[in-house]
Amino acid sequence: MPQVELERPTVTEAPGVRAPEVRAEPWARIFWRRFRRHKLALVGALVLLALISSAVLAPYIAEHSPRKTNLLNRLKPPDAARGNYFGTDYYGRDIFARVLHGGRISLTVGFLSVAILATIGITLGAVAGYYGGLIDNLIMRFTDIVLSFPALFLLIYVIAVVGPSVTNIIIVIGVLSWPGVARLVRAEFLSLKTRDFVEAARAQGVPDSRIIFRHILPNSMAPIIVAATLAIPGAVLAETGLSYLGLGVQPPTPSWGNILYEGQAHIRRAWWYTFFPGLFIFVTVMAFNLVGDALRDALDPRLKQ
Amino acid sequence: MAERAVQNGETRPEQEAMTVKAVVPADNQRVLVRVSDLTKYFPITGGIFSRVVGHVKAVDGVSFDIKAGETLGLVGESGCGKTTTGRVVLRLLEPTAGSVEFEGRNIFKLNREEMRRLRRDMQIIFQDPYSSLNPRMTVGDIVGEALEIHGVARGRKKEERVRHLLEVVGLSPHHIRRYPHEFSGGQRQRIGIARALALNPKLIVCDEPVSALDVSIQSQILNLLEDLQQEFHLTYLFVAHNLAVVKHISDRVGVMYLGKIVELAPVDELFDDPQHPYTEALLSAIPAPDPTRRRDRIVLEGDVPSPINPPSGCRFHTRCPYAEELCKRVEPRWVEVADDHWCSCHLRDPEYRSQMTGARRS
Repeated sequence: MPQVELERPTVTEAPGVRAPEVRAEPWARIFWRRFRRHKLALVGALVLLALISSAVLAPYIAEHSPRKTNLLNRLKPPDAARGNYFGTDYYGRDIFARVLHGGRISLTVGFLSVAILATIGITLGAVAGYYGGLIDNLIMRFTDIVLSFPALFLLIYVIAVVGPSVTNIIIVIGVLSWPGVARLVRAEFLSLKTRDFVEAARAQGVPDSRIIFRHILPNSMAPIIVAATLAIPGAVLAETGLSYLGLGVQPPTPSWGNILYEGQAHIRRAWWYTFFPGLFIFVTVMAFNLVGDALRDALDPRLKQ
Repeated sequence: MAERAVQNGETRPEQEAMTVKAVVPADNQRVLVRVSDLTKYFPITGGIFSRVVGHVKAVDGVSFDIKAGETLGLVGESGCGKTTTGRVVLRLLEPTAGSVEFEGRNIFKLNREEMRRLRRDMQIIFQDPYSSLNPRMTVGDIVGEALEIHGVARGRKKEERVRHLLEVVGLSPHHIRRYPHEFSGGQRQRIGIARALALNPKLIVCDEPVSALDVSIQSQILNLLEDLQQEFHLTYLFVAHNLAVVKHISDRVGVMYLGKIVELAPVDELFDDPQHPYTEALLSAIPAPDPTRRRDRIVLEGDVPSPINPPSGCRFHTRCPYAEELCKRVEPRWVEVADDHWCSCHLRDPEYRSQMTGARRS
């Protein structure tokens, strides 16, 4: 076919169809503008940044080793001059160092178990929502079953069977807490799969897997990101809960949960023993929740521009 | 005449196929799509155990041919099943019964892979240019995706082809990296058209492609569709409720009412000499831009009956100004009342008119 034959004048010059002169605002900038409106979330984000870097850089920030005992220096109150900013514990170890190192474990558990639960939740929710019918029914009834177990009880039971280790805790938390994400993703898929652009993809012969991952999933990322962000503090709490019960991270490796556990015996004599790990748990959970809420507002597609 | 008539409702498929074949004009216009007795019921579930308590009879025994290179218009009120017909013809929905033959092959008998390959030949343009484009994909990805997954072109070649397609539909090739929200409604519709054209299809189902657009843009898009048809030898199934639009673009027009086609004729004949009372009423409702002309508007009484439980006999009898006793009991036959002009109405059925007595059918 001769090329000339296909040439046609572009009609973008016609009054009604003029291309926008200015390029629309980039997506990232819109997001930032909306996120910025939440002052508390900005604080939360900064706190998270500080927490994460303090965990990553723990060996360089803390002057003492988290494991080195000093029986002459037991249960001493916070003393900046000696570098014991949060005091010392029953074995004379520096609580500041232990809390920072404990943060490494807690945050790792938080992020990795959420990665696992998001993967499982997204996959099951997407398949259930996209295919519907019997598959949907089977997956969602299975979800109901998982959801109907008391979570902490199940966690304790499984950990008691497979044994406590950081890897096991991550896997168990991830494998047991995906139902929320699965339900959310399913709901998103149910509404998005009826949209015309999905129909158009089907009309073009786009394979199901590509429709799910390239067409529908990117459009449902906003609520997924929010749900994942809000799931992290849940995982952190689950880990500290398990460690507190002695089923999590095993001493002498520090974790916020097991420092709390050790400290409760001395709570009358040494308030700092339990106060600082507790404070870190509280601040972490709070910061993640604040950021999650702000993300929800900033990513909500209904509030266009 | 009698053997060329198809009795609606109780016809056996093979009988129908035979009679429909007789309809094909002797001229060399090839039939691209043959729709026979197409039926689509949507189940209604209720109760605790989601038992099926009824069906919405969206499309109920529809038959027509689409000839290569023509535009077949499909008009009717909202909810008459015209959009569903378009979707089933593309097998975006599975039919309840009936067949759609595309170049002689029944598309409902194709397996997944064969169907995927056939999708290159049949495409769709949607009504709403806002929901039909993926907001998270660039224009280049939207238009070029089909090229990639069908292995037609990738990389630089794909991009070249996409740029060319954008030019063909009247957009600038520089728009390739933009996102849909950066365009106006008319421009978005052009993107949708470029996407439909990407694989050089033979058939395009246009599902109310201009209904959602500004009036000033409508004619631009219609003209574009006409130009493209000429240039790429496209065949259109044009679904719309706007009679003026259908008259402008169609070669033949089918009128749908409650899941059935009640009349099918070449466009001029249908508009000049409507045979079915429903078509008559529909045409009388077209506003004329002439205040001095007095028109006799036929105002239909009542609403469209529910497609869950359509009226017995002729579906239009509840609102038809000429309805007789027979219309309530017996479904009218599909009769060729003039050359290539088909209609299903007892009043136009020569056999009925000659007898003028009760039901002939068991």
